[in-house]
Formats: sequence, C-alpha cells, structure tokens
Amino acid sequence: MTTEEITKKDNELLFEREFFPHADALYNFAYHLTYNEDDANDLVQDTFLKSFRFINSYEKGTNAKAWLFKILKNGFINEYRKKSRAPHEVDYEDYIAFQDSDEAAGIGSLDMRSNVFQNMMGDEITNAINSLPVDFRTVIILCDVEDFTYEEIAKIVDIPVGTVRSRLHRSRNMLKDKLRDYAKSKGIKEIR
Amino acid sequence: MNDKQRLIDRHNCQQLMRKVMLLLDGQMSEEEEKDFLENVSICNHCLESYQIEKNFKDYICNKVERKKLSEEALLNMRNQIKNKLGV
Repeated sequence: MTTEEITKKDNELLFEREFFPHADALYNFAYHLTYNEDDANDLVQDTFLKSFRFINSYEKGTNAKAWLFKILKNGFINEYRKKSRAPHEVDYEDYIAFQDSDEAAGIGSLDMRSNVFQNMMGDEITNAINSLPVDFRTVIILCDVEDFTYEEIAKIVDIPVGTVRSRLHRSRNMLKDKLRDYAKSKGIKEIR
Repeated sequence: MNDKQRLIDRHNCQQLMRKVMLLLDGQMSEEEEKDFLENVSICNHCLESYQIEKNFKDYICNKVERKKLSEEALLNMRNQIKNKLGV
C-alpha cells in the first residue's frame, strides 16, 4: 500500500468511526435551526463535506461531535441566515425586561408534577422550543438535548462560558413562560 | 452547634436556587454537588423548587422531538465522501 492509499483508508475509517455516528444528532440540530427537512439535509451534507475539506485540522480521537456541531453552526450562520427566509437575529433588548425579572426565574405556580401535564407536554415542548429566537433555542438544544457541557457550547457557538449560562437561563425562562401560557389555555391546574 | 444547625444558619434560598441549573446541567464538581444537595434537603421550599426545575429539565430532555436523518440521505452523504476520498 502506498502512503496515499494508507491516508485514504485512515480518513475513511475516521469518517466511519468518528464522524458518521453523529449524523442523526447533526440532523436533529440542523432541523431545529431551520425547521425544514431539506435545509437540514443540506446543512448536514455541507457539514460532512467541510469536515472532509478541513480534515487535517481535526485531531483524531478528540471531540468529533463538538467539532462537527461547530462546523454546522457556522454553516448555518454564514449561509442559511443570509437567505431571505432565514430567521432574524435575536433582538436581545426585546427580552431583557422579561428575562431579568424575578417572576421569570422559576416555573412559578405551574404544577410540573401533574401526570395530566406530563402527558400533554411532548409536542408543546418541541413547539415552544421552536418558537424561541434561534440563538436561544440553540443553547437549549445543545445543552438539554445533546448534553454538551457549557464549555463545549461556548466553543460551538463562539461565546464566553458566562454568556452560555445566562443565555440558557434566559431561554428556559422564556420556555417556561410559553408553557405556562399553554397550560393556562388548556385549563391545567395551577397552585399558589 | 451541630452540622445541621450550621447548615440552617448559613442557608440562603435565593443564592442556592441560582445554582440549581449548574447541578442539573452537570456543571458542578462532586463536592459542590454534595454541598448543594445537603443544603437543599434542609429547606422544603428549596427542595420543592429543585424538584420542579429537575422535572422541567427532564421534560425537555425526554420529550423534545428528535429528528433522524433518513437512511437514503446518509447513504448519499457516505458515497459523496467516499468519492472525495477516492476509495
């Protein structure tokens, strides 16, 4: 085998062992960014093609998942967001008043332990997350769905760890508010 | 003064609840986690708030829809990469 053939074989193994196993997670993340199956497919495909292009900058055996997520997130920002149908950037000022209020700090009176509530929550959680501005839903998906650490999220999104923490806090408060409204609309019991 | 009384004396609900997500997000050391749970256990209000936040986190983890890439799409991507690699 020539050196070139060995490199090709090594890279093929790298894709099979370290990159492709994250295809579903990448697709799920892409879908939550775009809400569109075709766009999500394109983003994942583009991510794998870029990972091939930049393969020399990846250190084998390190955090492939975080590396791929960062490529996907950058692809979304640089390409998808430029399209006219792309979601708007977060207008943080719109949310400051709500986010920092003490009232928003907890689920409040909503009885999260209710079995009735549990049974009704599946679609509503997904819809509520999808209705958050993209920067807010991104941190929720990365932390609560994909189980990345704050440090990994900071690298993927390119923000300081402290901002990850505050953005998560704000995202969850917004989510709670949406779910509280939903629960009220369904007449689900509240306790005070 | 026993250990429990000392915990009660220095207990601050607001400060403790600011840290609850750090615990649930797995951002605390083992020692910090132990300290947090000890503090939570002595206050019914904090215990209830902690349980609510934990349930909320669990709901998100377990109930949010997880989309999967179709087998066909993955196969196409595999073939594209194989072509690029020349294998």
